[in-house]
Amino acid sequence: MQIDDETLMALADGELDGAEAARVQAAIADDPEAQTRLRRFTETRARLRALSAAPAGQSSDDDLIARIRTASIPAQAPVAPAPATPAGAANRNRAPWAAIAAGLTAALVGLGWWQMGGAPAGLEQAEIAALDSLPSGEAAMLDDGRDLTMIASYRTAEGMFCREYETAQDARVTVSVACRDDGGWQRQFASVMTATDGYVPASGDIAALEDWLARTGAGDPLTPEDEAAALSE
Amino acid sequence: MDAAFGEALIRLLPNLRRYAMSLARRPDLADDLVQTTVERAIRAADSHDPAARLEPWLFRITRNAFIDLTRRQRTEGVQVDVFDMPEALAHDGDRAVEARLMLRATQDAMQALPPEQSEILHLICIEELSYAEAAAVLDIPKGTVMSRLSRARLALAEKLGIR
Repeated sequence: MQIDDETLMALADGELDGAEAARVQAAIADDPEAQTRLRRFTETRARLRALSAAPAGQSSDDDLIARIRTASIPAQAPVAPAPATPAGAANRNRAPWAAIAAGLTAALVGLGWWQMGGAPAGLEQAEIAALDSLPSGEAAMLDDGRDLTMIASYRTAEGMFCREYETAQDARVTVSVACRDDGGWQRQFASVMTATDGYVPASGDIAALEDWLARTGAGDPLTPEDEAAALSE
Repeated sequence: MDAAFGEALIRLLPNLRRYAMSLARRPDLADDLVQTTVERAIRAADSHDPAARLEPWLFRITRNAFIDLTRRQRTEGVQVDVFDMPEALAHDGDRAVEARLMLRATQDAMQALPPEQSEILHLICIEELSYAEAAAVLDIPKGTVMSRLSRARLALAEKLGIR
């Protein structure tokens, strides 16, 4: 059987899969003419490969390397002006997100807060379980595949215990605040954010949350100890 | 641009310079091409799929930069042979001299080939791109890569006296 040049070349270049390579090798095993043709391809490759070790020119790359390293330094996210409201949302759990969020505000679409109007907002059992026990700063996987990250806990002026958390699925992140009353957990706020480019945004635009925190008199996020005490009530 | 991308780019600078040299055949133009490639790569870093190899992506930028360059100016300057290293020849052993002569012969043969052929040989046999990667760099079908590469290999073998 005659094996064509391109197939021999593909063999020499390792472009044939195992079975195909074995088949071609078997076909040319007793064919000196085909082996000579194969050698043209293996030899030319070996000769060219030797060139890759040769110097590529005398130019120094120092300037280019410096240029690349400069560009590699992670851009400092512009620090947003401190909100006029008390440092309600400036809690430690959101801080790691701040740099990402600052760069992402332009990429957010469909951002909008709404107040839940006090109606019992459909909280799933798994979310309620997280609200009941998950410490701030920790994340949990919900049954439906969403990630839930607990952001912070607050106490309103009226003494209501409230928790801010994010649920994420793919590029879609929902930031919610739920407060506990006699009837259990009620969602007070929800904000859906969809990021472009696959980035997961943090709670970037939190003005409405800041307003809510100010309006309800919620102070700083609870300390882990106070939070744990509130959770065990 | 993240630091890992930058370091990968730095690691590939010699490859870029070599490829640029194979395209431009003049050190000063090759320097310009590498510079342009780096600037464009930094700007476009986000568009590189981290799952894909960086080499073909960079070579494509270099190649487009070269096409831009040749559109702007005719590159009819003196061709400088970067493999001309007489000082090294003087005090090396026979074997090294032989290897160097072989290198030199290969380089000369490459220079004598049509650019279309030397380019595809460079991408696949020197930079070790796969056929599919070279097809992406050159923007031609894989079948065309194979037929062009096969002709180029046989032409090179002929020039180098490989029977």
